[in-house]
Amino acid sequence: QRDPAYEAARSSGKIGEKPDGYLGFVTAPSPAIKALVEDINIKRKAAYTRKAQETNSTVEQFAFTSGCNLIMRTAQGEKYQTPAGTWNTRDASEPVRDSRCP
Amino acid sequence: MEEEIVNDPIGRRSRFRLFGGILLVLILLALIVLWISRTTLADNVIQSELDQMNVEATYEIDDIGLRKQVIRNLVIGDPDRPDLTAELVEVGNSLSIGGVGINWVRASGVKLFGRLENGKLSFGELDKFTDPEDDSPLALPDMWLGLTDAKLRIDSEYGIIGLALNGQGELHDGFSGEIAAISENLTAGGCRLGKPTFFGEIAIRDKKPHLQGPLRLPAVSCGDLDLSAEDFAARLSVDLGEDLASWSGNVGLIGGPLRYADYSGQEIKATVNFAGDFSQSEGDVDLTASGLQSPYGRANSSRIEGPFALGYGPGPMTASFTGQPEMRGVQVAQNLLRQAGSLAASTAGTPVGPIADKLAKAVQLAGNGLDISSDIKFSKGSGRTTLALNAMAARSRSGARLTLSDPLLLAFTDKNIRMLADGNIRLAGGGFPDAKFVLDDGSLSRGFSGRLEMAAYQAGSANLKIPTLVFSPTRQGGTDIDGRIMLTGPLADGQITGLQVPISGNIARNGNFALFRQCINLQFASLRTASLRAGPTSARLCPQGNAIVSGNRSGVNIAANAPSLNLDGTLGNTPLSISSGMLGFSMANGLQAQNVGIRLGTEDSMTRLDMAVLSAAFGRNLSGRIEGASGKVANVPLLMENIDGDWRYENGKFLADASLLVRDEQQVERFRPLISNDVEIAFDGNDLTATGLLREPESLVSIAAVDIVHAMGSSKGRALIDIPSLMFDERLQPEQLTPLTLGVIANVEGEISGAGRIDWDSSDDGIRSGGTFRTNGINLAAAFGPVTGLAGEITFSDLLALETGPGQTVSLSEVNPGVAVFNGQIRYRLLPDFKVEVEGGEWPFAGGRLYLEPTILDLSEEAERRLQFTVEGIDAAQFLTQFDFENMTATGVFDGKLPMVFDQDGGRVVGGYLVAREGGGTVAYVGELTYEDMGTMANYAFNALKSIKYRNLTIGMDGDIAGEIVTEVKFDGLQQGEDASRNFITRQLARIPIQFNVRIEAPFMQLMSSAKSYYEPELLVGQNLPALLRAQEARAKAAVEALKEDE
Amino acid sequence: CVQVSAPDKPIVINLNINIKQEVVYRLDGDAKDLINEEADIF
Repeated sequence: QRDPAYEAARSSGKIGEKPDGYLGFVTAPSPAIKALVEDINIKRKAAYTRKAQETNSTVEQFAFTSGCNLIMRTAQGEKYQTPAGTWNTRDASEPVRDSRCP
Repeated sequence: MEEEIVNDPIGRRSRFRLFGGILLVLILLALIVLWISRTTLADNVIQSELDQMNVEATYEIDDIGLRKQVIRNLVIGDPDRPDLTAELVEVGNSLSIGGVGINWVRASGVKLFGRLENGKLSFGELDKFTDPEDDSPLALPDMWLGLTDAKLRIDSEYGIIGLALNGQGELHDGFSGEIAAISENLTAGGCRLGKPTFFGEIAIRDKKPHLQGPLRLPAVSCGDLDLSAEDFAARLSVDLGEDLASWSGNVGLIGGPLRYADYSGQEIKATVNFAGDFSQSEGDVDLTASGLQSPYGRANSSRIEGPFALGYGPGPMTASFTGQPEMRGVQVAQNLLRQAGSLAASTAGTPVGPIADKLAKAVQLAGNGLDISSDIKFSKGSGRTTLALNAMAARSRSGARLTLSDPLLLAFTDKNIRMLADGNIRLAGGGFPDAKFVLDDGSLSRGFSGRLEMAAYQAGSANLKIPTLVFSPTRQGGTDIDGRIMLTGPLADGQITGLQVPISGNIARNGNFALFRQCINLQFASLRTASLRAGPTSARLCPQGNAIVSGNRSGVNIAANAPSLNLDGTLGNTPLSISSGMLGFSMANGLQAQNVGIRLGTEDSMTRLDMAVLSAAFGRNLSGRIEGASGKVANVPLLMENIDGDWRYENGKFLADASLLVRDEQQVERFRPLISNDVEIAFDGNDLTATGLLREPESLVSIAAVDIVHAMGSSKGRALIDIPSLMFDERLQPEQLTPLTLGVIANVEGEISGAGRIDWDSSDDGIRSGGTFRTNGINLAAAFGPVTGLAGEITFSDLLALETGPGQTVSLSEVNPGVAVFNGQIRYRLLPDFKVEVEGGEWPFAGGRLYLEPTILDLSEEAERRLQFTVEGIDAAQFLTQFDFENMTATGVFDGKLPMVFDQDGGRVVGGYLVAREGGGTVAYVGELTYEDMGTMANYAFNALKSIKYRNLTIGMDGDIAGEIVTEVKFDGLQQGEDASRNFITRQLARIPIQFNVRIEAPFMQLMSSAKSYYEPELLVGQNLPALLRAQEARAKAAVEALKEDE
Repeated sequence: CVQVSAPDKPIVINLNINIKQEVVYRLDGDAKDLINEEADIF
């Protein structure tokens, strides 16, 4: 039950999943999308912080692990960032992910 | 014939004398014979005469004398129903040359029966005595008549009249006697006279009979005329003409009540002298009627005096009368007066109200006591009835006067009342307006023609002028009205002046009237109410139905539309302009106006209100609805929209309850639109007050109570914003209230309260705003990590610009930018354009203090935010125990700097360092560390780690505080700590200045994790020890190789 | 005896410890749970 604007931004390829578990801007974002993504990233960070404390890991590690999953879960046509930093469009094949992802 | 006699007078006298002598002798002889056989002769003569006239009569001759014959028990006519009977009849005759003439007759005990049919009086057998050809009315024989106890009964189509007559005298001159006439009832000319009686004297003077005496008419009723009169008595004195066919005389009449249709008079007194005959009669009448009643009113008395003439000959009746009829003490019927009153009442509250009221009072006052006098000439010819009103005047004790100054001729035809007039009717005095009504020729009943001019009519503060109002007849028989009126008068609690209304309308025959059937341009000079002053305005009004104003017997209806209306003026001394689109008004459903715009105030402090629909109902007080409105109060930076509500105007105050939406006026919204459904607005012409509770539109959570006061005159005002308790939770988040926080903070939980205030006036600095808000515990997630227990008070120096004074403080029970720090306090200041000046921040940190250095953050900018932290007096032992490094102890006090850079992904330490203070301290690793051979130096190093005394220790730190921190630990001036394993080498080495650089890339969190117990730092002991060891061995080999290269 | 001459310059031991790989494995399950629990922000 994602926010429709968030869903639209994902499916239109304006934003994509980054390896570090946060959303990134594929193209220069409009103020609305920028605020939307920042808001979601803040909420993700709060969640990662909470989960990091529960799992005695760092926020970054938990975020990174989530990133691996999130990139795997991207739907066809959505964007994701490769470890090298380029934005790929997910297709039917396996996404290019960080070697450390399980 | 007369001429011949005149020409031969002498010859005739001589022959006359001779012949005379012979005749005289003969007569003497005859007379003697006659005298002797007079009774039989008489009998025979009479008998033969009677036989000759075939008149049935019986009589007894009593005595026949030379000069007097006496007959008894004379019966003429059918013995059973005799026409005439007489007990004793004495006839005196005269002997003269000309023959036997009757000189006198004396009769007594006479009974005569007559029959009057279609105008002919017949006495049965007696008619035979009259000459059938002589149709002249009964001329009286020239003889002396003596009647005693004579009774005459006349049967006629009108009824039976019984007459009794006693009297004697020369019929031609000198007869006098009493006459009594009685009838059961008489019907004549459609009228029934009940028991009329007449007792009077009758006298004949040179052939003219004279009747005199009281005539009583107890009851007269004429069915088709619907006329009835009771106990009338008349003192009659009439002279009949010789031929009894003409008469003259006078009559004094008194009686009453007289009723004619709905009109009635209690008592009628009249003296009429008249002369006339069977075809006409005329004379003078002086009639006074008192106690008059009519459906239209009563009058004490009415007097008509003057000559009259009646023609009732064979043709249709004619009549004429000239005179000065007058009525005194007239009182108009109460229901008519009340109607005037109710008509006036229906205009109450309108500008014409006081005038209608004064007019109604004048009508009621005058109507209660009025005298009417007139000078008329009435004539009714064959089919043409005219009434000439030479003069007419009605005067009242109230001083009112209605006068017709010029003659006026009304011609009544059965279809129409035509009027030939150049008369003026004047009305003045008694509270009435001075008005002149000029009548033109035309008709009265089928459409009216005339012109009304009325001077200014003042009633209290109202003033009506009718320069001219023209009435003209229409073909359908109605009357068109055209003209102009100028009106000034009260409206609501103020006054409208110089209202010019072009009048165009029609009064139909049945009394219904319609005004303004086409659109009219209405203008008024000024409109003033308790607080409003509006200048000259013109509006175009059009009828909704077929006429703006239409009325009939049941009432008046006003319904008009105006395509638009513009009104400019001042409210108090604030400029006001009102413009409206389509405007509809009707008595039934009040006023409906579309897209009404109100502009109040000067250009730089303009209050405006635009309404899609404004409706008003005119009940006891003014009230109505506002729909789809939007507005702004002076320079208060709030836009109000979707305003819907009810309003009312009560004793000078305009009140409204409404629901609306409030929006930030600035393009970059400082707050999102809020709604309220309990806004109360009051406006008394100068002070505008508005209160309401603002709610978040979706969750309807109440946010703030707003109380606005604005003085139009000085355009000074203030707005109080009170937030008693604002709870953020899953139902309400800050981004629902303001766009500023989206992407800055999220997941907010906690309560904020406080109050803000905005002040404005017309001075150049315009708006000042402030406010103090506090929270005693809010949790939120920010870009740099979650914050729990944020508390404090913020006082805005400029609320609208979100600026504060210096020294704002906020305490943070826990901030976790990756490392949880507790009980922090930050002093800051909000600067214009969303900049935050951090004046300082302080956290207790491991026995020492963590200081946040002053800096200025630009929240609106996307750039990285640099925060400089200073660490002071950190006690290594506390630091480690605080972070549960059970298997590591340290002593020594550190100072240092942690420059941090925060961006969207969190915070990073860039170039941070911690330096041990003079006197150094020790570091000891107390956990087990087993490892295989790592080379001598490595072993030495790890053993050294077990307990190191250092003179100075600097820890350099770089990296993501929430993640990978590269820490370079430099030990200098190392000596072995007390419990380090001492052996020869270590003592040897102890003196060597060992610089021990450890580069630790480990999660900073592990190093400085929160108070909650954490496991060993990855560095030393990982939870899954084996994995950790394998990693360490790899690292150790690398380190050793590094050492080899060094050597 | 063995004369260990301490090097005249300080002994610099650089010890780079950077452990990552196995943490990701450990946390994978928890990450999946989080993503499902708070689907609206993932």
